[in-house]
Amino acid sequence: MRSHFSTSQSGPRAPSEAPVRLPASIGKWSLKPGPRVITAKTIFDYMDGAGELYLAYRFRQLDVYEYSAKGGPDILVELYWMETSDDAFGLLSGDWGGEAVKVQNRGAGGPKIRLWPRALYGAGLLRIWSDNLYARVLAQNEDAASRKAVLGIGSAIVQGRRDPPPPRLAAAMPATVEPAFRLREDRLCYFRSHLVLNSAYFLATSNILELGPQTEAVTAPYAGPARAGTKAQARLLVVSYRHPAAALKALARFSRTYLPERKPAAPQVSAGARSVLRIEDGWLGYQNSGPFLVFVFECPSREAADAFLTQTTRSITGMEGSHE
Amino acid sequence: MNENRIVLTRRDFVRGTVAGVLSASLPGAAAQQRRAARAATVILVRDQKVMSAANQVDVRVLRQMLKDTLLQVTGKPSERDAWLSLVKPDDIVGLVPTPHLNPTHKELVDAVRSSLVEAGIPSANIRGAQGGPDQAKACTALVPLPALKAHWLTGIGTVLKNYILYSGEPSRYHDENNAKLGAIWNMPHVKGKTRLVLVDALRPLCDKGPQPDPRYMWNYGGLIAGTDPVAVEAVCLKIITEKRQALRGEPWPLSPPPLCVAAADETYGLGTSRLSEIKIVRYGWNQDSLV
Repeated sequence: MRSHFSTSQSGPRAPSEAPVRLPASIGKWSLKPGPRVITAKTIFDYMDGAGELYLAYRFRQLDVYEYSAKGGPDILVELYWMETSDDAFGLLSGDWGGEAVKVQNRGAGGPKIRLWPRALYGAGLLRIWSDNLYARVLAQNEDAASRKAVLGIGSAIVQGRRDPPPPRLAAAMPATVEPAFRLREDRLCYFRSHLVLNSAYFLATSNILELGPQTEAVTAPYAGPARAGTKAQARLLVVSYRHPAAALKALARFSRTYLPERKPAAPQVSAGARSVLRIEDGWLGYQNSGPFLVFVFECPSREAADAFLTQTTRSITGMEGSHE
Repeated sequence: MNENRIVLTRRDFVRGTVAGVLSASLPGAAAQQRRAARAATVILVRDQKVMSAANQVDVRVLRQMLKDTLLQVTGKPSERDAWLSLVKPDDIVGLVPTPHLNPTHKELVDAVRSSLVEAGIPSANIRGAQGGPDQAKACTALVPLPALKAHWLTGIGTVLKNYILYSGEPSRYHDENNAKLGAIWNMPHVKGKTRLVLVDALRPLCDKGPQPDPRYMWNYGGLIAGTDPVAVEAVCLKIITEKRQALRGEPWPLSPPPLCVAAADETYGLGTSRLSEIKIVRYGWNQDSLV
């Protein structure tokens, strides 16, 4: 790695944030002049059809760099600057697939992350969550040299940056739920938008939970005990709203849209509302607690749905203050 | 957001009531009180050698695949006869590739153009027609050339989405409104102009599209073609779905579900989305065809 660096300074970052210093060359690759700066206004010119994903996570700016090499594939470096570390975590949480790799971060300490990796590599693509930065480093054709270069660039990206913990709402998801349900950490998704929810777990064609930039949510499947040769499973969804009133309003809308048969019975959406009922794909349960809504879908039994609601509500209401 | 409009939920898919809800929720669609039985043929031509280990296209192999595809689609004895059964020499032929983010391979667009010229279509009458409504208006015949890919907002983003810019208001067809994509094919400046749908399945993307992610791309080495856009899309959908299941070793359905495919059939009457009504003709390499 040559000792010359290109410093990504174009992003509107907070004064305390470490800039990213990309190496001017690595292996046979040389950094082209850059970056190309993409804003919320221009993101659809850069990636029509994909920009919504980043906007859904409170996107600030994207810096795009390219490395080229004679006789080798280009390496694309995309630095997505987000509002918070939680937003960058959310982008990585869209897919936990790939090989968890350790990209060096010699300049910053920080707590160990119990559940989730910070960098994932697969088939030439490295994805990194580093504080409020989400990075993609992509070599179109993978070989040993490009892998080494991609990982080297990844190490340069995280150098000196903080490693905040994962979103507390994600960490509050119960690891197990009685009697024998286990969180699929590799399928947990943190998000703010119904578009992302629908890509993880399709609920409805409209934003019936009134999600948005000011809400945060987590969903994950839970693997259950095997019965008659098939494994039971359930889907947990937790949403945190800014105010208890927003949570109740969203619950009322959910009930009207998703459970229309309950209209005549005037569904209960008062504070602390809780219900478990059987629908086409299993037992559905929901519970309100202050600004939180907890949902469980596709549960194999009423008892299991009850356990999900009780344990999850206890866990999220016991969360400590925000780390952001 | 208007809460009074009809919303499809997960429960509609479980209950199998999607088609009815779609028809009720898409005003202006061609009402189909009783959907008549349909039949369509989709051609799948594959060659293991068309893509190199470095993901480069072998143009010679691709050109042969194109010829095979045209002959299979039309039943004609030559490439020239095949094209002339699809377009007239005085047609203005618009080629409509996927423009970026896993774009259609340029080699395929070039091959189609060359093949048309050799068939007697004047070069000046062949144009790139991806873009706004004026692009479609300027053409008398259209040949969509989309690349096969999953799409994180619409499930699949291949055939039906290929004309989205012809609407002049693409944002009206994004997100959950993708069910309305079929309406674009019935717009006056588009309707009836599509002569052949030819999908670039050389190196598809089965998840996280349209942004490229090489973990979900593979060298399938295929061209998928037909004259029924919905049937071609349905076969594409089957390939993507099967590939996802093969990757994970368990069902991995597209999410969100690709509403546009069923709606194009049930609501807009563009063709059939039912595999039971589609005859798939396979030609060439058959390993891991997924369909």
